[in-house]
Amino acid sequence: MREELQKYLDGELPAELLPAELQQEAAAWDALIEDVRRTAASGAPAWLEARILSAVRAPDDPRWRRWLGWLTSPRTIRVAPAPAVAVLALLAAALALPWIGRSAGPAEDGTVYVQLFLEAPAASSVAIAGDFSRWDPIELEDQDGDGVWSARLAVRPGVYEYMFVLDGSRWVTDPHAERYSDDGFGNRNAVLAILPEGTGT
Amino acid sequence: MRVRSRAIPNRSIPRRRRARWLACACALICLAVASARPLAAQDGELGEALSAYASADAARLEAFVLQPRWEGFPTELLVERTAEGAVKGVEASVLLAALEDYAARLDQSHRILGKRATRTSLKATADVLGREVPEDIVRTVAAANPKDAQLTAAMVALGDLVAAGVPPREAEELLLDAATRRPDNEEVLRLPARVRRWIRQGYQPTDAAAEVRRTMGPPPRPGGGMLDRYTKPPPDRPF
Repeated sequence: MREELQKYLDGELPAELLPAELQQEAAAWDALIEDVRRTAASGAPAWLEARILSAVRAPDDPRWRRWLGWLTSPRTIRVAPAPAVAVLALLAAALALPWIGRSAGPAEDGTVYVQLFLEAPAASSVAIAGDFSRWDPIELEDQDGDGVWSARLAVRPGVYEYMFVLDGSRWVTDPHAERYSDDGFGNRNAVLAILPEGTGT
Repeated sequence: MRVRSRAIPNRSIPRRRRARWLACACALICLAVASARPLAAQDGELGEALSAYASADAARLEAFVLQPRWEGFPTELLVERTAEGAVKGVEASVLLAALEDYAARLDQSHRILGKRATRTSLKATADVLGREVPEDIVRTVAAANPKDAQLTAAMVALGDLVAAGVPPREAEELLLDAATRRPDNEEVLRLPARVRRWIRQGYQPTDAAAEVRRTMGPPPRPGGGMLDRYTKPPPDRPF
């Protein structure tokens, strides 16, 4: 751009003093600037002013206000679809995991295996039900037919109450349990206390 | 040049806003699903347990279990007890009475333990309260055992000692004495068995508890040992 034209556009040179060959170009620039002014006055979207003002902060803003402004003003986060889907899938899996774990059985973490026995030679079936199984009976086995029924249970550390069920209907308290608790229905539940090793946790 | 501004309409903003709303909605849905699943499982379990009862009884039991005032402790403990009653074939009125008693004890346990209350410690504490141990003793023993498993072990042992016939005050003293020695949780759980061994030898429960305390020896120096360091096993033969 010629220097005279630059000065004219900066308002430092009147139009009359422009050389004749620049008059036409200056008129074109005037028309363009006028067009831009008109657009700014009427065509700018309503959100633009608020957005610009929100981005411009006073220099003496306290730090917390700047952080607040950063947190509350809209941000553009660009995410590629594939990683986003992967992250969402992982999140969904993490949320579903405890639920899946409950239905599949106790997790390996901290799980203790407990062998429980009951001598019941006359019984045709023996089961154990307790709060570790949400009181769903779990069948015991008497593999060698000597009348001693046993089951190996995987339980997490905790305090559990249980009873044996003979022949599907007769509730029997474990005679070899270390501790007992009234069930509130006139029976005694055996209590199994399994706590993490150590002096606390 | 001084005037150089142009208004460029940003057509991508509404799309970004939509994406943000979409992300928020996804996060909310994930949270809702995660919290609803256990509740749904719990409701399903309760419904299954109550299916053993006539509809009027089932409605009464459900209303009791799900009432909002049990916010202090996990309702699943009541659901479990309901399932237990149902599977044992307990009559609805008996079950309701047992639930009322259990809920009151759980509520009291929650008030005693406060923010420390966990499912396991609540159960153990409710059991102790069911053995008519005074609340102040439960509070003292709870305060002496700050960690969760430690607290549960102490509560289980307290209930056990009282069940063995040891008066609550003596049981409390034994457990407080034990707590100063920072024993292993298993050692705390074994205390009632050790008391029972002395009782089997002919000691009165109070004397048996005192004997176990005596065999613990003096409290250890800082950083020092466990309960069994000073313990001489009681004689196996009657004296």
